[in-house]
Amino acid sequence: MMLTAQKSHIEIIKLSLIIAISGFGSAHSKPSSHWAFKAISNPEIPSIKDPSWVKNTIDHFILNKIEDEGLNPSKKASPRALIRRLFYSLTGLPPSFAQIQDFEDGVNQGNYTALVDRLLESPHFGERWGRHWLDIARYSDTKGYVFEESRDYPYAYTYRDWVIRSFNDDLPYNRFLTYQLAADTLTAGNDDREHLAAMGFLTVGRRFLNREPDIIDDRIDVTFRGMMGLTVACARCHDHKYDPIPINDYYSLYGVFASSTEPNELPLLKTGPETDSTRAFRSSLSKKQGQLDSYLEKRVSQQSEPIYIKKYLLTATEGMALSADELKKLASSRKLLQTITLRWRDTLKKKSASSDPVYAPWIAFSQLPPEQFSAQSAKTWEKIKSSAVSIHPVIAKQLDKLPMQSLEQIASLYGKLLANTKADPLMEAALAHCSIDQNSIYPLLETSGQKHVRKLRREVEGIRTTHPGAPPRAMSMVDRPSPREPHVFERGDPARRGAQVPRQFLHVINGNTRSPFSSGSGRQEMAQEIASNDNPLTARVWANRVWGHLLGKHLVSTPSDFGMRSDAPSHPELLDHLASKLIENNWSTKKLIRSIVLSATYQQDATHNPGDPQNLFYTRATRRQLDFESMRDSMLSVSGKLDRTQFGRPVKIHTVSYSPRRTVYGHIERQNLPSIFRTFDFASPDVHVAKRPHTIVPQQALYMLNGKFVRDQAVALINAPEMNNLHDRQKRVSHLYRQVYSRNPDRVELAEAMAFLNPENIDQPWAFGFGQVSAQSGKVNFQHFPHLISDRLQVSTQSPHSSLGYVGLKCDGGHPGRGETHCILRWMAPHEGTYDLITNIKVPSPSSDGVILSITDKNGAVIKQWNVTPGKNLKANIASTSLEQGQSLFFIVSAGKTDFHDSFTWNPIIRDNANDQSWQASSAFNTATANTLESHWIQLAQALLAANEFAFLD
Amino acid sequence: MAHHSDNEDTIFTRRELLNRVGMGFGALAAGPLLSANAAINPLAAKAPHFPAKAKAVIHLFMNGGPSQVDTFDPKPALTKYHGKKLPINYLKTERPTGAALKSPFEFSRHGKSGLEISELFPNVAKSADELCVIRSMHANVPNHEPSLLLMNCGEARLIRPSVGSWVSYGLGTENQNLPGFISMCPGGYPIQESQNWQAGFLPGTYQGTYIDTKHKQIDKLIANIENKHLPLATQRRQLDLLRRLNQRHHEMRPEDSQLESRLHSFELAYRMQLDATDAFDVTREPEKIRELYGEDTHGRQTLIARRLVERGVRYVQLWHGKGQPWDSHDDLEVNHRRLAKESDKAIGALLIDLKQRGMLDETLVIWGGEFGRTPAVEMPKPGSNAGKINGRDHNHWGFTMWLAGGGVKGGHVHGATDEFGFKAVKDTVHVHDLHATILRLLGFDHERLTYRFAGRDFRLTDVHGNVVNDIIA
Repeated sequence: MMLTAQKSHIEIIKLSLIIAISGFGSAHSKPSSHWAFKAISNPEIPSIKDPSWVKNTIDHFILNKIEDEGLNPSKKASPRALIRRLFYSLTGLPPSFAQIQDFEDGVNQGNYTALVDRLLESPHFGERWGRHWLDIARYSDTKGYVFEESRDYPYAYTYRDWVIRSFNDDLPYNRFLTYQLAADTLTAGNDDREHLAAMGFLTVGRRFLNREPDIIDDRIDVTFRGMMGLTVACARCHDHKYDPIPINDYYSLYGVFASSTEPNELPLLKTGPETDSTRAFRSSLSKKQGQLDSYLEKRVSQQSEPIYIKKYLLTATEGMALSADELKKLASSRKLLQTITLRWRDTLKKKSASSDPVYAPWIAFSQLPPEQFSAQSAKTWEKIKSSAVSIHPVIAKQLDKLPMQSLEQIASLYGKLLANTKADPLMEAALAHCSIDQNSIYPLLETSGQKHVRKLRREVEGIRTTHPGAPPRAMSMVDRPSPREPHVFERGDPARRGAQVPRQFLHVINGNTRSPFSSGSGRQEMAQEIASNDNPLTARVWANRVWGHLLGKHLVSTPSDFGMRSDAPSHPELLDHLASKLIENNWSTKKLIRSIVLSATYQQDATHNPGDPQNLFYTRATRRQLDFESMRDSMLSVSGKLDRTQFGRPVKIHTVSYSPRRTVYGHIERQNLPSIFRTFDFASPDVHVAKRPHTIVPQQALYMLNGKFVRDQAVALINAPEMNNLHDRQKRVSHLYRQVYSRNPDRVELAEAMAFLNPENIDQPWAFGFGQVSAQSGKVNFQHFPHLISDRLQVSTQSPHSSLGYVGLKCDGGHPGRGETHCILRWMAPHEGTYDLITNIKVPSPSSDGVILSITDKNGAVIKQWNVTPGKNLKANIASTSLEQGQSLFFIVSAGKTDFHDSFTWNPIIRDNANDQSWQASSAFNTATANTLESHWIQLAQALLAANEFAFLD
Repeated sequence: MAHHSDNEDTIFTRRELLNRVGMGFGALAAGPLLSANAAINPLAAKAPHFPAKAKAVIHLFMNGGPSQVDTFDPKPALTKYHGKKLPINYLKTERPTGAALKSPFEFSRHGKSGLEISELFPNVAKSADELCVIRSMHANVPNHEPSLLLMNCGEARLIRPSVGSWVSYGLGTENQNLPGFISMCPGGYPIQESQNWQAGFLPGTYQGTYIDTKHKQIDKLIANIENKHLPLATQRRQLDLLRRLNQRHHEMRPEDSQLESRLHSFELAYRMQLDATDAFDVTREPEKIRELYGEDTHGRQTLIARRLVERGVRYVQLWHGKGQPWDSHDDLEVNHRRLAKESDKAIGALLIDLKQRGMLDETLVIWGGEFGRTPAVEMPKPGSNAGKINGRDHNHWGFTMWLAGGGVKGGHVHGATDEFGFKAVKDTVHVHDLHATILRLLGFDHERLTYRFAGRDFRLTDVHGNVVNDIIA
């Protein structure tokens, strides 16, 4: 963003011209007269003509305008619509059938008020309203793109939980804000430590490759748009073009954030008692830490083992003349550490052949040509001994004993002596260059060793952060020991430092009375200024947000921009009334919500009002589509699968095996946000979101029709015990309606469902079923299989059936039933014609006594019958059978004397030679299985879940 | 005219909604459910500011950064100085560079225009007279992450919508049965992952739909496109039930267009199942065409791109592969030869195929990386180039991209780098200028395609960008 290029100046002029021409901002030429910067008033309650409609003061403000416009408000919504609306408003979950019934039984205001109070106390209230705030806080469980480091914010959830708890506890909104900015300065003992988690508001943002100015910009933006509806971040590169926010003020605030930092070790939140889980945590942590420590210790001690000392000596000596890079390569090829090898060489280079008590012999020996070593070594040793050097006595003594055939032998001896004579100061000094410890060895390790250490460290960190018994920590901030005095970055470029500015609050709020912050970073003072009763924006911004969530339409249409370019509130006095009441009620969000949902305005019907088509005057309720969370939570709720567990680490909600917990507990990955979130207009976790977009796109419908989650809920609805206990289809349909819509179906709906559940209505040639053939009439009694189990159609979910046996059909075969129950395949002629019937059939098992295949004509009379003997393929063909459109043939397979081992395979085909068309039974199987009765029940349940009645709130 | 400069958080006004309808559902005009006031459809087709030259874009993204001096910007002077220090002040790139490294590839002239193309792209060279080669591209920094974001979103670090999102926002799509903006990359994500096709602060529906073209099955390509339980005929029956439920619900709430939009979206989804399956199924192409593109991953994804554009998709991005495949810090000769071989046949086929179908005039094809590479050899550095001295470093100072079709001049060279191909010196084109030009070809004034967010009217080019009129035919 930001005007950083040379031509930006011209652009500014151009932009200002556009603005001047379009007249933007001209209505508020003076900041001091802009409504949002003026103090909040406590307006008089307007008079109204018709007091019968109003329920509280809010309604006076609304009705006054409606009357001025010559309009009428709507009547009260139906109890069902109202209760549903209220449940979603306060908890984001649907009411049950019984809850609505209770309310319908005694419709009166007192009852409604009691319900409001009960829902305000529901633990689910905080989950609903907490999520609204998390949109503002651009909440995510990950950092975004940060190269190699871990992307997780393992403790982000502690912030999410704090937000939910704060709403449930009705933490006064001013304190709710100050904790989020400066809890570190406001909490003291263990009792209020939990509030440290609040600072996740600042710290759960994207990390922009860890570039500080961008991180701070994001924090300024989320703070000021989120809490005050002020686009302060627009002043990063130049004075704000519309609002009275000079670039200096941006950097005054920048300094506050730059003077704050995140502690390396995040503080523990309030600690609970020791449990099995916490013990398990400490034990796995110490085990993994032990693995890491012992690996490092091993690598440290290795470097001064005899065998390594020998190798280093030889390699450093051999590589005396090599370049550093070449020596490193040589070291690596011998599995030695590069840096240690270089140090050995440096040491040997510095030691003198004529004076060093330890290395003098080595240096002398190493200069002997290898092929003459054994011949000259003794002489060399004598020469050294006779020189002025005082050789270390231990070395001298051992060398005296040594036959000295090769340099390698000498190196071995050095290895042994240097490694084992640690108490000897001379020897220790000779090994000083190898002195490393666990803390310093990592950078010296070869790539694979470093990788191993990193892996272990990650595992330690993984246990520390994600073990179920690991203690939660707060993503807090603290002041730096000494605050940074900010400079303006000209054009937003940190390389162009301009004038120094004091850390202080905004001029637009405090005018000339402000003074620089004096305590630490100034964060706490900033927080107090934002949450002050005198701040003209904070209470208004929050009242507007709450109103917007409840009414579906904000009083100020740009809830995060109350600046000079925003539209004025549609009801300025009402906004001030709500804001001043909020402050008066000690910033209680619940009281604010309560007063709004108790108003007649909120309780109106949603029916279109022709006099106010866009509902500018709140003459009706706004019909709304459920947001992503409400939609998903509701489906889980009606299917009976919702897990109401609260709080804790995030769960996966978008994966194939998803968590049935409320959506607010879902893991949010901001870098690659799963498409389901975007498809359903979830708030982007990358930027502060003032209002979610609202789209209707086919991808949402695809999810409803084909998504596993929706189908699972439909299946759960059908398989619920209450459904299984009901056998009457009409009763089952009614139960389904009560579960999904919390109401009974009407007559038309019932009839529609009954028709849908009748598989005979499906127009397709092949049908897979079972039945009997009447002994008297020879008439075929054909029934569809009701169940599909795995890939087999059956009469019951269990096979064998208690009386009918194994009767069932698969795509290419089946098993006849016991006694007079047969497998029956029906084919219905799609048009008049002459058809050839071709069937191959086989009973594979030699233990069977065979089966009988009968094929009937159009009248149901058997044309021909075959005994199918086990192990042999039988061709059962019938040529040229005439059928009229809609007439049926049956292929019937019956057991022989017994149904023992009577599984058969077959593949009936019908051919219309005249039209060159054919119909294969096996390829029709999938269509048939989709048409079992059970499948129809699931389809019905899924249709109810997908329908607009479920998705919209009146 | 402010193009839909909505307030900070979208939501279309009712009038706006009504204005949009009618253009959006051309393909479905016969549908029984269509009504004139249905839609909160953010993807309804919209008209740009001016008559457009191009209707769709296929961006062939050679991620990692192909070398200009080995592909489309021949520099004989490098041969002269091969192994010697270049007689210029070395510009700072990501890593130290050394002596001149001549191109190991032969260049020759192609087509009537005599455009010079290296031996790496024999098939692309067949369409030399269609190419508009910009040899004077430049960007801001020599690192992948910021350069990818600059090339895709016009901003190196902050959250901004990608070009494809802006185009979807501005134009909608002509086929409601397919996503308007599709980004394909075989095997996984490029560096910066889905940020490359992000919607930023625009509504999420404008974000590119990512497709891993390693897969062939349709249900792995598009989420929920297939029903695993119901055949179409059965689903149709279920959908009819759903429609009746929705219609009855709507009858009692007749003025609410959202209800109708959602009802309608199920019909769209039903058709999408067929259309998307069809669009991604290259086996429906004649064998001759499949052979032309090549029956490997690149052939398949490039052919899919043509099929998508043919069906009205606005913006298709084809990435070479996951990570940063063109990043030849070492073994440039081997790697560039391999990478070019992987893509040349498919790209050559695309140009010929679009041309023979008469689609090239309205389809803008863009080829290039996030930057180019240095003409000087990259010096060895532990952990980065395996100690070899036979590759090139990143170079944002000067690089080459080419455009074809969509209203650009064919067989044309625009701008030039210095004698050695290090820095763009003549008629330079910054990434912002390229963006302004792409929008111009699509019919937009880049200064007027704006979206209000956080108190400001944002645009793709921020405060930059000049349309490169010289390359427009």
